[in-house]
Amino acid sequence: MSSGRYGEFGGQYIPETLMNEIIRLEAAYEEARRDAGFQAELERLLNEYAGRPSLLYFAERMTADLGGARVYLKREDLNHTGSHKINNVLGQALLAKRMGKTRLIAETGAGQHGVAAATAAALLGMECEIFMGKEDTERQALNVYRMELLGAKVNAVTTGTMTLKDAVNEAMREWTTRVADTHYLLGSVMGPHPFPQIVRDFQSVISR
Amino acid sequence: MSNIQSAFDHGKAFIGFVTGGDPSLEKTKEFILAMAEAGCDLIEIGVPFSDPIAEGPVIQEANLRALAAGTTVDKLFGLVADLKADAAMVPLVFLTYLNPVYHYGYEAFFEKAARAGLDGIIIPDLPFEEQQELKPVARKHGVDVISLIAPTSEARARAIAKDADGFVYLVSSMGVTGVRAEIKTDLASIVEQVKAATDTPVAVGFGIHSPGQAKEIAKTADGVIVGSAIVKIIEEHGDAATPEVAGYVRAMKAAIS
Repeated sequence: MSSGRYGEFGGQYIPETLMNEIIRLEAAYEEARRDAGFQAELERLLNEYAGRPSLLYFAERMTADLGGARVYLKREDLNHTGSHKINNVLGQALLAKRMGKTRLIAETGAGQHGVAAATAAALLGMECEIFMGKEDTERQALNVYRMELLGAKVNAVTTGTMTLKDAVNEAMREWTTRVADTHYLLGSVMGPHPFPQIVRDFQSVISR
Repeated sequence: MSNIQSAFDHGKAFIGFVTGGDPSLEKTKEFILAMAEAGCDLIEIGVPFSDPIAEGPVIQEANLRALAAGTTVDKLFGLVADLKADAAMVPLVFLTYLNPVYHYGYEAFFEKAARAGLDGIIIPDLPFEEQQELKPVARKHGVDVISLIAPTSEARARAIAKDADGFVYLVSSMGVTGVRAEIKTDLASIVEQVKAATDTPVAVGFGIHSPGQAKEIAKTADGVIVGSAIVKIIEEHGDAATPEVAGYVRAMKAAIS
């Protein structure tokens, strides 16, 4: 059984074509994680480019209104590109670059992760392709426009339910056709190990 | 020795694929009978699934048609039992993603599979490293878990081949299933590498559609697997596809004989 288990969840349930790439990613991430140079570069980008650390705001009126716990808002929406997605994206894009990749592919639902991925690709001089359910491209046309402005190619996914899960499937299929120069920049805690660990680790900056 | 290996007893094997329940269970039965009659040595039945990440558009669409027609795992077990009532039926295997098997429960799934007479199972999203959770159960019930090797498997190919049951499914090229004009992978060297590690037969699939391609591949491999090209015929001819499918299988088998 592979590593990366969370109780009965986790593991590496992917086509054989991707297995060696996933094993390489696991090794590259372990190495990067322990490398002070990598961590310093990531921290510099998070602080100077993404605008971290995000503010912690005491929501006084919401606290009074709810009448129980003191409510604080961690303002991840104030990061560059407008969401927490940039935290993970900068980490993975740096990792991909370190692995010698020149191209990023990513799935996106509403478009926050796609915009963040397109932004990181532009910042680091990488090619970028986004997979987005056709339904979502219509609902979130403005985000499609932002991704395209940033130089990314947006593929409207017309298979299955035409939403996020189909965008993930399509990005995974694309990765099996081209693993040598491409990193699949997964945006959520899902997919084969080491992705859940990578996304969790890069997002833990929120509470630091 | 498993029943699957008997498929490789009469020259190079031709392995055909149909999606179970596309366009209906009755038609799937008719296609399989015609394919076996026309020279298929082994037949893969695709279990329709909502998220088939190793499939190209042709088989994705067939999955949706079969699901819309109400196909279930139990109905496909019934189909296998029905076909296997004839002792002369060629070996039958399921091609399924892990999710439906996991959902069914490994013990219950393989117990039913064995009772129906299913010979093997191919699970494209269950790589070698994860097989151990299921292989002992399948082996206990005499169902072969068929392993895939890809052009990117490199050194892992040897380990996979050594533990292979039934036959080794060699993926011809990068990407998903579906017709390709040409296959550029150096298959001969991978086949050689696999054969050095195991006596289990090696069949090549993904992208193969023409008799010429099949003939070329059969020079080194023990068998040729064709899925999308057959499913495409079914998509085009629907309920009237039986003679078309049989004619295609006959031509492909002749090309490798």
